[in-house]
Amino acid sequence: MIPSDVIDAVAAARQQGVPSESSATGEVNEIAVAAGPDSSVRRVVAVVSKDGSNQTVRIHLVASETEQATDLDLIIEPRDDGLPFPYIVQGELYGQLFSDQLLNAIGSLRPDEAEAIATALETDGESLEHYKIGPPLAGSDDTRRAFKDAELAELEELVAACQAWMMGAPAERAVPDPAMLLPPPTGSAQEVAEAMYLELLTVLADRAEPIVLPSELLTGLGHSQLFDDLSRWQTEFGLDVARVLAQIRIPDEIRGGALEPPLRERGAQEDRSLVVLREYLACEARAGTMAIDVRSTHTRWTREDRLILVKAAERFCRGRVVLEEAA
Amino acid sequence: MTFDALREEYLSEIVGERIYARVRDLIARAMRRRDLTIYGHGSLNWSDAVSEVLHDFVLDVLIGERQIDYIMAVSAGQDDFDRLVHRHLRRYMARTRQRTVIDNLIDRAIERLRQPPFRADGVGAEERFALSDATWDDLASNDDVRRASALAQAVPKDRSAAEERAPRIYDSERLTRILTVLFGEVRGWIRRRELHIFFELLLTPWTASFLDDNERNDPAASELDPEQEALVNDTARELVTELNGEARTILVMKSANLPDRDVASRLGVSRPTVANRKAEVFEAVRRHLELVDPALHSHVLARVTDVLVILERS
Repeated sequence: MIPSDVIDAVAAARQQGVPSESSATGEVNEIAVAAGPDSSVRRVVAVVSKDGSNQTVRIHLVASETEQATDLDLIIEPRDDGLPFPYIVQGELYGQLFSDQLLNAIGSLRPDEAEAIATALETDGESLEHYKIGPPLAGSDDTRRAFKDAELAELEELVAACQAWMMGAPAERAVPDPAMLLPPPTGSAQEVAEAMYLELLTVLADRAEPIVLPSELLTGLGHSQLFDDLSRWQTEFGLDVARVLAQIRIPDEIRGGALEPPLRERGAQEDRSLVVLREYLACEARAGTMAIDVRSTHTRWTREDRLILVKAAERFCRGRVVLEEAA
Repeated sequence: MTFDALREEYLSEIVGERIYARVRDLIARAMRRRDLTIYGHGSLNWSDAVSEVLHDFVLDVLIGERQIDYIMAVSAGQDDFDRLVHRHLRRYMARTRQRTVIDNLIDRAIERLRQPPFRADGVGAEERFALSDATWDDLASNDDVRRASALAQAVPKDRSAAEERAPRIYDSERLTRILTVLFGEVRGWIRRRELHIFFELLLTPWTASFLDDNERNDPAASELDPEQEALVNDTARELVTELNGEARTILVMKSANLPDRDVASRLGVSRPTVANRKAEVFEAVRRHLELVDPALHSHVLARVTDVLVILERS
């Protein structure tokens, strides 16, 4: 049974309605609910900048505990054109998110507020001079320190995947470069090399000796968890899994110096593989995968990364193509 | 009840019977671990306290601050909802926490401890105190603090203040005396946490019910005429004489609110044995108190405790 004065207060609140929600767009100034990749943590964040090249956003953590505000936190009171509850945008607690991590938009900061909080740290709080802020943090007994520690832990969980990916850590998934699976151009050096390699395997098989599969291949594919994806490439895109064999190096003891490492012909085939790769990334985007690494092995002197951004069903998948120096 | 049902109710009513009931369950769970006198919004029983806190929390926080909007915006399921309500509830309870006489005493004590013959070190929750000439590095043990509180029972409380809303309990001189007892007994530094244990033990002896009743009936009972003084002394002496060494130990230790486990350990007997013997001691106390005017009960008990503490120390 709800007491009558509570019923009256609820009735008055009902007049104002509930905040409207819409799908987040990741635009600057947006206040949105964000979730970690595995949805373990959900928090309200304020978007202060956006990187369109890889569809990531810089956010500041929002909290409703206004009494915990420091002099680097922006306090926003309830207002007609904003949210009905007071909240703080925390100047020191910021990070990078994949824009797909933003779920519902529930409000927005005014542009000057977003600018002020985005530069609060680098201006040592000066940018917040004309805004409502909290008192500076005091000594070690200031209870806000414990609050900030807990907030930091949640922020770290929220931004962990994106931050790691931005720093070059392996993505949550890795797949083989489709270029590895395309047949070599007819008459190319690679085709000759592959034919020679298959011939070598046949010779070895005829001698009834076990064929030694190069450990580099097994270890590398296993480590990158690519076996399943090789099968997927074959099923979904009709690419030849056996083609990967052309990329392996034969151990010296069976090569006998007769076989040169396979050479890669690039150019026209690269475009074909890119088409396949885009289709694949679109599948991953629809499945909710936000970032993958595309692994390849090339005879290159230097390592090279390329970013391919694909959107499907309002979601993005970022394929970071890692062209590694051949082993 | 599913979270979808809560969300549906929120979208149509903001707060209705379902959300109110769910918040009530969460408050009931949170209140179970808390002291009613501090967190119960003045309620005398648990059920009233839950209703009071529920009413105020919904009115002030969920509706007044519109935190229900924040909670529903962020929640994806029942667990999120519960976690966020609990988070706001903890914050609300901390904000509306009632200050106790112990809080007041600790603040006064800390002010005193920053002056000679005491000295302070550190800041905030880590600020610690010792006598100026103390040489130790470690914190005082809880056993030291318990023992000190038993001894400090001998310092009379300001019984005439029982009717005040925020009684001082000890005037400045007596507060200094009990702090001297405390710091004379312990072998280590004392922080706010140890002071809390000390005062809690000091102010919640098993005799509390006797004291409360008597002082409410007769606020001026601290003034005794010579005849009453003699009666109090005689009754206290008879009671102490009747108690053997073990019974005296039980009385002193229970006066200091020490657990039966500690008493059992001290006497080298089991806890059930202590419980039985404690009942016998209390019965003896009641028998002697029945012979005197109820207005004098608190004086008799205070005198008995004083005498026993002195005997114990000697």
